[in-house]
Amino acid sequence: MKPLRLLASALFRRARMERDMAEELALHMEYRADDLVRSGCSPAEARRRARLEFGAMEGYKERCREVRGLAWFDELRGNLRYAIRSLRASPGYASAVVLSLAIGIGANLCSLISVNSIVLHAFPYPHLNRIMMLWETNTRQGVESRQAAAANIFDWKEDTHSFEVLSAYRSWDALLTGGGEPERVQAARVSADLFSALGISPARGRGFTERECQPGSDAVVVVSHAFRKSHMPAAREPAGEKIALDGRGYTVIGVMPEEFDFPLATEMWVPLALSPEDKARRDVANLAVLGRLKAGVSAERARAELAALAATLEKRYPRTNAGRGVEIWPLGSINDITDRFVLILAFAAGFVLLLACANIGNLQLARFTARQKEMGLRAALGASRFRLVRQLLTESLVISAAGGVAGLWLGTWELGLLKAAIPAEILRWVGGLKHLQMDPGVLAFSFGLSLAAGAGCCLPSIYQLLRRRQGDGVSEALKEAGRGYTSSRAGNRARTALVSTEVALALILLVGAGLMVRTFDRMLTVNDGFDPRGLLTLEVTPSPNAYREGTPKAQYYTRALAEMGTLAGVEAAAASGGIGATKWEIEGREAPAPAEPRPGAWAITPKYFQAMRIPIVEGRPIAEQDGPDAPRVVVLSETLAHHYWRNSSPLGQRIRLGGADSPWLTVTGICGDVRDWFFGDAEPMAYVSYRQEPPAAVRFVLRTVRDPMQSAGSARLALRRVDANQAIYNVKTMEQHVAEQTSGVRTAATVMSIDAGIALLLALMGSYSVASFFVAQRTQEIGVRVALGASPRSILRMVLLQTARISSLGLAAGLSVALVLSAIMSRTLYNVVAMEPLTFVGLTAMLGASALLAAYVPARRAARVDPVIALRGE
Amino acid sequence: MPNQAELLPGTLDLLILKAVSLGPQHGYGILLRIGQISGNALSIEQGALYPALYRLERQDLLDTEWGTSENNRRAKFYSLTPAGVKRLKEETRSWNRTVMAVATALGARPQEA
Repeated sequence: MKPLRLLASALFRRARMERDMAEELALHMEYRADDLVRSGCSPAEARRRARLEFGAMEGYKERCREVRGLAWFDELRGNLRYAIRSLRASPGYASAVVLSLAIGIGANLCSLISVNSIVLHAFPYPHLNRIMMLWETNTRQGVESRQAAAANIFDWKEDTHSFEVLSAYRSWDALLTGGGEPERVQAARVSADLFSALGISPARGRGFTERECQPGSDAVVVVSHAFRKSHMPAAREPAGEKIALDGRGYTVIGVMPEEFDFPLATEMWVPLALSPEDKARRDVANLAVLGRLKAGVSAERARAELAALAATLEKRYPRTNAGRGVEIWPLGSINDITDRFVLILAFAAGFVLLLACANIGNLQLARFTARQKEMGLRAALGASRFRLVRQLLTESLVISAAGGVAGLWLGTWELGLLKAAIPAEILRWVGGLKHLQMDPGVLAFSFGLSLAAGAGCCLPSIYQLLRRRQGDGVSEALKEAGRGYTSSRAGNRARTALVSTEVALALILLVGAGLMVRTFDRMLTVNDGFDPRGLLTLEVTPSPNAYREGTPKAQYYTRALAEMGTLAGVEAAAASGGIGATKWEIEGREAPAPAEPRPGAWAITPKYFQAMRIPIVEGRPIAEQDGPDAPRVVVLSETLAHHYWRNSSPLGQRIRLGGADSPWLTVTGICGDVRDWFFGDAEPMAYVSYRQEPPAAVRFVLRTVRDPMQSAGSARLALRRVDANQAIYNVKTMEQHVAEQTSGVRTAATVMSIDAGIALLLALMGSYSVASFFVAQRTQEIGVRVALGASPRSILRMVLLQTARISSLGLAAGLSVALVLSAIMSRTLYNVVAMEPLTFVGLTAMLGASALLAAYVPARRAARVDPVIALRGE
Repeated sequence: MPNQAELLPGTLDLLILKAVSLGPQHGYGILLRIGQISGNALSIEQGALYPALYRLERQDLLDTEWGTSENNRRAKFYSLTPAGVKRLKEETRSWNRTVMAVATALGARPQEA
């Protein structure tokens, strides 16, 4: 163990060892001098003689260091110094390498941070894999309801053994009043154990007790960290503060920690207080359920247990529970689609790094060839091959450390850009996106990655070095170097392979980016089915204690539309609001099969189709006459109507959107389809009259003649004239909505395009450098050819053909890999990204042509070679 | 100094081990002790002692410890490790054999050749 310990101290305690050694030797001199004084010398003479007798002090010290293993350390220092000096001597090479690596590492850092916060740590809850979302399904109707009925949840709680905690919640758009402007807040009613189910307790104050989950004693609220900061910054102890929600006073009892964000974007939590009647209901499914599995219980076991229980409940309560099942899903999988985009971008960034490495490898190879004379000299002077390898490696590590640092800086900057590009609305709704920030672990990993990349990049050069046998290495190198640039066949092969790889990687990235951009383009240009230009939207959720469900709400909407409809610049004012459609039934027909489309249901005001510019295909739209006492009517979307009435007209037929006690609705019209922005599919829709089925909340849409935002102020004022106590939110143009929705894909497409752009540049750099290298290497040969009568054109063709050969290798490889990868990508992203042959062909041709173009400059140089000069260079 | 023999290669290590075997000692002490036990008959360049000491320490034949010298100075004391004791024994035996052989060889008479 002693050698190891000595080596360790050689490395880490060098200073101390030096001190000890100096002290030991000084003591020796002192003793000697003392002895000499005792034998009669003068002190000065004694010191002089002691030094003389000792011999060459520095030489002995050096030999001591060598024995101690310090020589190793000194060589490293020497190598470092040498590396820095030689890199300084070739700033062009050094900056090209640093830049390539910085770009690669920067792109990677940025995407690793995204992976870390969005994919790996989106939900900062302990034992995340045990936290499950549960919901009811209706197998018979093919309905996937995300919510469950209270009485069923109590049965799940009672009769299953898989869960430690089973907790229910419901989100609540609350109206916050009392502090100036009324404001709409995102709240949630939660059962007392929701916080413990997620394993997070309030940062200040306390959570809810079971007693507070009783109607009457539930006027307590826990607020989010952000809410506390924005709304009660002055209060040192927020507990005890009073706030009013929907006109009712609540007392703040706690503040959740910053990382707690469940359900996403919730600003405050109140107890879920169910009355005994509510608790007994099985027909209304309006609660979301979250459970924490007991340790060691698998999701499968819990699923099986719940399925068995659901079957029992189905038998016991056939009227309400017929066809009802339970689905269970880990909370962590909720980010799924975002995760997939992020991971695909991470792969793209990985490819960029690989490409950067290939580029650096190529640069190093060229540099190595140019330095063969130097290497040969060093070998001739006695440096072993391994010593030279160590030298190359040191140089590589020095430069990759520089590249790494630059990359980390670049990545940090890129992350800032990325964060700025994400709209606030999206930030709230994607788990983990808020916490997109530098992480020391990821930083360290990225730096390690850059060192590893640097070490990897000099492998081709090291291979070249080791291939030479010790004996011939020296004289060969010196001889070859004397003739100017030459390179072994193996060196050329390595270069060709590297450049082909670069071209292949660039093609893969270009195709990936091409597909992403096409996807984003399609999302923007897809015919949404309505005209988003010139539309202003405002949302209002009338407070329930000011407006009871039903007619009072409808009256509020009518008055609001009357106020806004007469504003200058407003062409049409309308509103729409979602209503729960639990069923889909056509009079006189069998229930539809599970796979058949079921419409979403919206209550709309008469001018809705006009304002949105959704065409009426057949019949008439919802109109003024469809009041509460008139016959119930419905307008269906085209695709839905065609699915169920293939050869006939649905007009006059009757449908039902609820259970047996809901009214039949007569189809009065068919309107154009509205498309899903993400998949581009037509969405089946049923529109009813807002006065016959008043929605709890609406989105007003104003068709304006000018810029819609110019009407925002007057629209707000108009709404306030109707009722100043209601919160108005999400005031923006429809185009802003669309931009927000598509921002994720836009970001992905942008990042991917930047990656692809970098890839293209690097590949062109590679193509250029390898062509220049070949030209430089073959200058004499070209000179001979020209002297023998070869035309400049044929020389040009020769060089370009060589480039074409190399890049077509890369293109062929890249194209086949790109085909496979984009098929995988398309499937991973739910076929949102389509494979398009045109993209493939176009990009391949483009890349091939650019590679040739990059080689054209050196090729021109070759064509202009003057044979006299070239031959004299011999 | 007159009448001093040059040190044969490899013998310095042996002398150091011998000197240290008589009791832990610091560098200068070892030098003095070698002089003492050899009757000052051998010339050693003083500095050469230290690389040898460091090498023996590295080979695990000597142990070191910082202590206080006779004049109250901090000094590094060398002592034999068990391996050092063993090595001293072996080296002594092999040295004696060599000396004997060389002496016998040198004592040979011409007619016996």
